[in-house]
Amino acid sequence: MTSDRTPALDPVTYEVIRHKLWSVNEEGSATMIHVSGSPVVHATDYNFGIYTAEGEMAVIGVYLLVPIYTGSMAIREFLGRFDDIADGDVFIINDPYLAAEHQNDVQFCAPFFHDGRLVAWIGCMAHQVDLGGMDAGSWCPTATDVYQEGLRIPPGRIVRRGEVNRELWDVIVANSRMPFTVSNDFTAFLAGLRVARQRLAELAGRYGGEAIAAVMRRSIEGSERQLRDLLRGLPDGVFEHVSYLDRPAPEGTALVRVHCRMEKRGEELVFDFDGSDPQSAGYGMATRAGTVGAVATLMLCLFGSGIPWNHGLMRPVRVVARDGLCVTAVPPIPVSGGAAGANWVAMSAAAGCGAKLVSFSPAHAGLAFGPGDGSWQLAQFGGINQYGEPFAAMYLDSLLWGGPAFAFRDGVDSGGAMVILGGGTQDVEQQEVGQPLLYLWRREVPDSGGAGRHRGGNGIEYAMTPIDSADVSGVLASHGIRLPNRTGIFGGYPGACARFEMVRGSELARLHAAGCSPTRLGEAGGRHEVLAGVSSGVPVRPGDIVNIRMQNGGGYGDPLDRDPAAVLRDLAAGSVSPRAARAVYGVAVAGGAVDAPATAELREELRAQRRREMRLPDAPQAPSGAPPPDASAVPWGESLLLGRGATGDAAVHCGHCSTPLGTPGADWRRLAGVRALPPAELGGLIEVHEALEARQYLCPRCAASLWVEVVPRAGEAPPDFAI
Amino acid sequence: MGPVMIASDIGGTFTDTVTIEADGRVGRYKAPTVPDDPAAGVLATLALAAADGGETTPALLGRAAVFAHGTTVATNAMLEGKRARVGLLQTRGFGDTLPIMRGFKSLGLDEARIKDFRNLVKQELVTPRRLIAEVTERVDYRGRVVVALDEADARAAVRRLREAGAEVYAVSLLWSFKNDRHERRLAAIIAEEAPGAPVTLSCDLMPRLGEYRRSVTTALNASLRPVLGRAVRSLEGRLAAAGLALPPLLMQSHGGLAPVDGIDRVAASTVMSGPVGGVVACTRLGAIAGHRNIVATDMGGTSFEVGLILDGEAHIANSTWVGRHEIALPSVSVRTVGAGSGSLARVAAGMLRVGPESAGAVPGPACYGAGGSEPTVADADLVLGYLNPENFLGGRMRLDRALARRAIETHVAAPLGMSAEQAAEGIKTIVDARLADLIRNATVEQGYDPADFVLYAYGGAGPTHAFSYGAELGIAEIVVPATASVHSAYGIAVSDLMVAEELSDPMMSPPGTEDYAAAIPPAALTARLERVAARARDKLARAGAEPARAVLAYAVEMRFRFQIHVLHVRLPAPPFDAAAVRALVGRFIEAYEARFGAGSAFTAAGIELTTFRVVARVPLERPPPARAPEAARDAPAPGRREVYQGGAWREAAVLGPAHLAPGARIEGLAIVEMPDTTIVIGAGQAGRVDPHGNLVITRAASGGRA
Repeated sequence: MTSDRTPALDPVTYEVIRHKLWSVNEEGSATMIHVSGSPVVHATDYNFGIYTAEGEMAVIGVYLLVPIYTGSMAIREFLGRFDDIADGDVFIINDPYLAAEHQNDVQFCAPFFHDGRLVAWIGCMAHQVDLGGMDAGSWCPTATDVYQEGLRIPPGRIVRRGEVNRELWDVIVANSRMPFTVSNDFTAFLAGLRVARQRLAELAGRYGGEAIAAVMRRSIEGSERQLRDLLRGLPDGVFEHVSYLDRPAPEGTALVRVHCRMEKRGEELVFDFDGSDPQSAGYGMATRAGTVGAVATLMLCLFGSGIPWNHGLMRPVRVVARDGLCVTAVPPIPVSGGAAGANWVAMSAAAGCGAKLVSFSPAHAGLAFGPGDGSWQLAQFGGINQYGEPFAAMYLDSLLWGGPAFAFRDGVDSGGAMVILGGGTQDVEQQEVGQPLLYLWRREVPDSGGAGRHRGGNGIEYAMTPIDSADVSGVLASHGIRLPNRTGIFGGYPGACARFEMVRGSELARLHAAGCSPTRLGEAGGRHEVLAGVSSGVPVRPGDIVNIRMQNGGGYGDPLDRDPAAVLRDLAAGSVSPRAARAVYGVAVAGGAVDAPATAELREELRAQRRREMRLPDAPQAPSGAPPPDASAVPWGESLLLGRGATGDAAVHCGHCSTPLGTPGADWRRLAGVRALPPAELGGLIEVHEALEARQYLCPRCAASLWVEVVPRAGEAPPDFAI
Repeated sequence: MGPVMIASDIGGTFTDTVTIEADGRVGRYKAPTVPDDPAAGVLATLALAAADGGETTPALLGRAAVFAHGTTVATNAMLEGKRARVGLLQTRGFGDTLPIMRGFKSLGLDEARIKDFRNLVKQELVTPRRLIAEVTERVDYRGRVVVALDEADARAAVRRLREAGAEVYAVSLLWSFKNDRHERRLAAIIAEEAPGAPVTLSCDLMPRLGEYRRSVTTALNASLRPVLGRAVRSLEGRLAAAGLALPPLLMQSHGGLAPVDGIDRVAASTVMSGPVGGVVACTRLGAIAGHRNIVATDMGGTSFEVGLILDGEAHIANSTWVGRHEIALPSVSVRTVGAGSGSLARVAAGMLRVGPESAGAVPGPACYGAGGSEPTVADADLVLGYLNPENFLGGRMRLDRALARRAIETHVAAPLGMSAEQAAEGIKTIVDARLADLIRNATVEQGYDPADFVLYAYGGAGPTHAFSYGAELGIAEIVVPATASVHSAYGIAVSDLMVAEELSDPMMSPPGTEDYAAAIPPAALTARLERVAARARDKLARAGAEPARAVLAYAVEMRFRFQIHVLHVRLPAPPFDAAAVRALVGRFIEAYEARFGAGSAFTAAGIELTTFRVVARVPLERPPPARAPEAARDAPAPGRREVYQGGAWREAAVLGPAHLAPGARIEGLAIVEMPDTTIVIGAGQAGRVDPHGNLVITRAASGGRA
């Protein structure tokens, strides 16, 4: 099927078939979810898609986004390996080194034939609750090699010409702690694929296979065209962003560097991760599949707001990274945590690059958002439930982090995830009826989103204690504990770090009996401890409390520019604390209203403090009264204006007060004032690893916050852009 | 004259009224709705009805054996933000249940809007966070009290809410459906602290597992009580003044009627009051015609609504949506998409799209001549010859074919290099295919093939398009009811007094259970359903019905353990023995495999019975439907006009109401111009008028597929 054989397809038939393909995808995925017995699947950790004969994504739903691209990789793997692909086959794969984020993500792909020709593929995937390995749930954060993790399934056939390969099926199921659930999910895959295949056959019978192929091809080409047009309107250049994966090491916490260098040239984008640290045994290494899937996710969310989602959004994109890096791990490096490890840090870094690029265009600056989803805080519990049965459960409450801020709005509170746009978690009651853990609270954490003119979304924290079971243990693992991955953009502050805490041997029973509901860990007695980022087999005994707090979105713009009325609203809703309202936003409130004169005064004081603390740039200061940039100046977000100075030379101006900062060199930051963000302004929810500091770049004249980043204490981060 | 049943559907634009006389004759009346005075539209239709029978409105109302109505009051209050300020009390530690929204930012959005990440935000809260207070108390999953209610703390919380401006109160505590003591005590405390303020308890309104939906529903209900209460009292007063001697009844979302007295206590159960009437009407007509499985389709100006009737009963879901808010009360399930006669056709990048954007009522389609310049589905129907420009809305509005043609030429035909007719037919093909896709999804989701259904089509545009989307689905029989233009009002007129009660109280069997009767004790199952039945009977008695006359239907929501989605399985009346429990599980597995394929049953996991439902109805006495009038002897000969279909102009017969005598047979291609809609019978199809005046369209080779 090559595009030179596109048959004449009128626009009416095109639209009718296009809608029917959507409908087929929806029917297939609805069937799959209904049949699946897994709560993880019900929280949308799955996907279902229709692909072209060559394996390009043609129809994509709104499920977990990262694996959508790995489905495409899987199909290419099958096409490359097998020359006897036949009608009625269903292929299986979960090998993360080839085409999956981690072993849990088992994919089934079925070729669709019409009149003896391969017309399309239907693919589906769902996170399997357990495929063996050293930890229940197969997410093994302390594994030191891949052989301690869940079963790896190489590309092969689970159904051959309509006959289920029962031997392979049984081998997989026999390796799971939850054989019934896995078997049921596989049945669900086959049910979904069967429905979709049947419906495609009806469509093909009516319009012909070639018409279906042509519709898929044309819609991909349409999206590709739209993206290329958009990219052409943006400046060529190189954009960089660095973040770190933190993980426990024998001595303290080690940092693994993830560097994204994005080059935009003409209509194409290259994401280059070669500057990242090499792979190393231990938590958080990602495979190429996981990293490319993460970049694809970013492309869908950054550019897909106005462009139909399909492979067209990836055609102008190349991902460069040599084998053996933390984002392209190879055997035997363990990768079960790679579904949300270095590849998520890569996604954050790529989002940073994307924001820096689109913010050069006033027309597209509204697309920009800071580093997206920061960390997946794995909270997996197992043991014996209140009914005396074995249990294993991954708590999807950990999805409820705050979203990133945009130039025109705040981040979404408690549920801003980019990787899952249409999903969420269960009710507390649903969880409590299934697992022997009683919630003490599930609530939004004030000030946990990064401050900014628009603030990042706040996230939740949830605390639980065992009930009716003395046999509960947990696997608790995340990065983003010792540094915020989700820095703000254009002067916005980072969001809160991830955190796992426990109280051992609390006095809950006594307090509850006395009619008290403790609302803080400190009120429950016992011994409080903050856990390291990665712990496995943590016993949770009766009386113990586990509290899990999310890493949240960064802000957009200077917090001192935030509309005081918005701060007042946040205060009333409890989203921002009175302390932060004053210390971070400089808003004074009296009698339930904004005190405007006091606010102006307070903000001036905070600016004065910035001036006192800032180290001025080496570059000479522009004289006061220097001319503003000419009308042709290009804004970069709200931080800079790139135009011409008085002498007609290229000049960088402050985007807030228009003061010339100097001539653009390799790095605009050399023209700005610099200070370390003090703990009072960062709040109590952000930790900064000892080797790093939160650094704020300021306008030397008006003291506006131009950018905040988390960088090594010694040394510089790569420049934001070079255009 | 004898007793008459009267029913009005007070819609957004029109108020429709249906009268059913003792001999079964049906009268149909329509008048514009006066937005700020719903009684005005009703009285206007009653005046028409009275004039029709040569009597006065007081005389007509004096004969009323039943007056029932449907209203959009609650829905409009939600859409227009005219709800009362509600103070919500929640369990300590869980006051953010509403803002957290279980983490979903996509609720109530379609896929296209979910994919728009930068604009993807949560909906407005049903009550602001400052009007939500936590109280110290906690109950666990078994209903045991973990932390006793701190009454002093609760009292202080109520005071704070009152001072913050709460006008009404809602209480939704964790596990209150397992143990309602704390909620009831809070009601008493609120009564002391805020005397006279209405209170809604979640354990009364919606004793179901799932605190998010329960809290939203309880808070919404509380906030709708004043506005609904005022509206029904006002209507009741106006009708009484006009001569109505009995209390009116009101249609609820679950498809049954309730007296208006006290209806505000379940105000949120009336949000689908109007739309479900059409589905109920189809149920009734289907029962007469012997149709057990029906797809009920209502196509209007901006939306297309699909309801399902399965085995003779309207499918009742356990929630419904108003905008982005989910109301988790039993509701006749009606799926809606933005596709109607006002849907806009647009060309972008060489591709033709129809909807979901709509020209709305203003300016409306280009052919209305009200300033709309973009082409719509109605413009296409006009250009293709399906619509008669002189007969729109019974001739009350003249359509401009030249404007329709120009809009299509400019915006669709020219960019795509087609003729105006080809472009118009393209618009129609696309919209009809979309409607067919939607119907397919709705039936497949319930595990059925659409080809096994009879299609009913009503609403302004349904009868015009059904011949096409019905054929696309391979449906054998399409029915356009005689009451198509006032179908919801007719449905309200033929509804029963009804209550639907639910209770969550999970029972489960361990993994690997062989004998389900051992794991699910029959006595415990009996006790649960009898408890729900007692509540239902009690509510019916309070509604003035004789509980002894009630017909009770029992159902259980079941699933395999570790699954989320449930199936409703019907049960005989309690008591149950071991054999009954085994039979119930057997029916569940059978239904599950019928829906998801043989061998898909997840029996190894064990099963769970989550929620118990009793629907109790007291049928209202109503006459059998009368035979439709015979053909008028002076019926004019059918007219003729050209219709563009399948790429060519074809001649179609044009008929009117006078031709729809029982037994009449009409060969397609034909158009039947009714006062408020236009029925199309496609080429190769034939229409037959049944004894009651409904038009049944089948494939011309009789009995074949339409």
